[in-house]
Amino acid sequence: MTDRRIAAGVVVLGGVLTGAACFLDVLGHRFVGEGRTFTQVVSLWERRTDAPGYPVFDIAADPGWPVVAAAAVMVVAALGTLAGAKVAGAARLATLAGAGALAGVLLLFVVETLHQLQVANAFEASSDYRYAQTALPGFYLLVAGTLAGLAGAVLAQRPHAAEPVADDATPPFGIALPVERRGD
Amino acid sequence: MTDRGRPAALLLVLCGVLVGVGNQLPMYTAMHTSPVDSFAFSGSLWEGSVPLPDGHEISPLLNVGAPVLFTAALTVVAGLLALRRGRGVQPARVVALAAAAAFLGVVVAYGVGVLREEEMNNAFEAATGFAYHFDSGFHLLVLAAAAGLVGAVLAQRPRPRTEPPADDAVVVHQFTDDDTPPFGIAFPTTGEARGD
Repeated sequence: MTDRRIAAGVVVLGGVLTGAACFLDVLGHRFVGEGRTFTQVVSLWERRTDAPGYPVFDIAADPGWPVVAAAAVMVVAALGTLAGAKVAGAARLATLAGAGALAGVLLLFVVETLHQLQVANAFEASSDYRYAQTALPGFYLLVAGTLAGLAGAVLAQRPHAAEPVADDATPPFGIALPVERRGD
Repeated sequence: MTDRGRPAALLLVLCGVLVGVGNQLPMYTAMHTSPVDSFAFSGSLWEGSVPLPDGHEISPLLNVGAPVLFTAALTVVAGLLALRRGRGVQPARVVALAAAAAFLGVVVAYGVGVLREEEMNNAFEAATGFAYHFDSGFHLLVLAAAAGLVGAVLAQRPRPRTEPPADDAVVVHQFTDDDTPPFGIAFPTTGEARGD
């Protein structure tokens, strides 16, 4: 039971870190060219920039939705592992599935971010523009939350030893068996 | 307990085939129409939407196709390993399910990203409009992710062992006795009646 609580606690910690990342900025972009500097700060829900003429996006398909969905499955399922045996088995699998999905979402985010950086570097080489990308606290929290969730979910998959059967009816010295002396 | 090994293996192999075919197909098509011009372009897992200056290339590992193939391959390999008996099965089960879920996460996040790109392009071009629709490649990836996840879940169940027969079970031993013909062996008799 203790193992299960520790595993669920680590998963919930991952969920809290991921949830905190949703309220923070994740990436910063800086463009320098033609004597001007523009910055853009990106969170999982919005983009803010000081570049003139850049539209204000009101986007429904925010990158935060897959993160929140995966983290919610992970945390709710982790709490389910503390329930009865019938629920706990399925909950353990759902915890791992949620943590895995969160890792997949983060993996794609990292790959797309690095791809964007390489594209910018390619244009940098043939122009006067300079581009810099900065990971902000939200990104680090997202990575930490994902890793914690995955670690807790893997921990929850460990087979548990069968709990000893509580047999209060039998005292440690056994039960006295009435014996009748047989007559010869 | 029923043996779920065969359906799990079939689903995992199906996942691999669908990804193998789907990753080479176009993922979506974007149609742009305006009074001035109209054009369409398609998105793939392996080519960026921005043409790069001459002499520059993006590492293939940084295309969306890389995490798609990586997570899908991990799902199939670990899932099939989890269906064996013996050592290393439990870690393979864990890796298979985590990888299958990660594959689904990659596909869903990619789909959400395509929808986001459509919204952003329309924010820039509100007067004209972009219309995106998903193509066969993305549909195959969704099917592959579903097959991989179900296959990985089925692979979590331990396979039934071949139980030794119970003590009171009827055990039939069949001997191969080629020496005795089916009509028996003639037994030499003297023909004398037995005396009482």
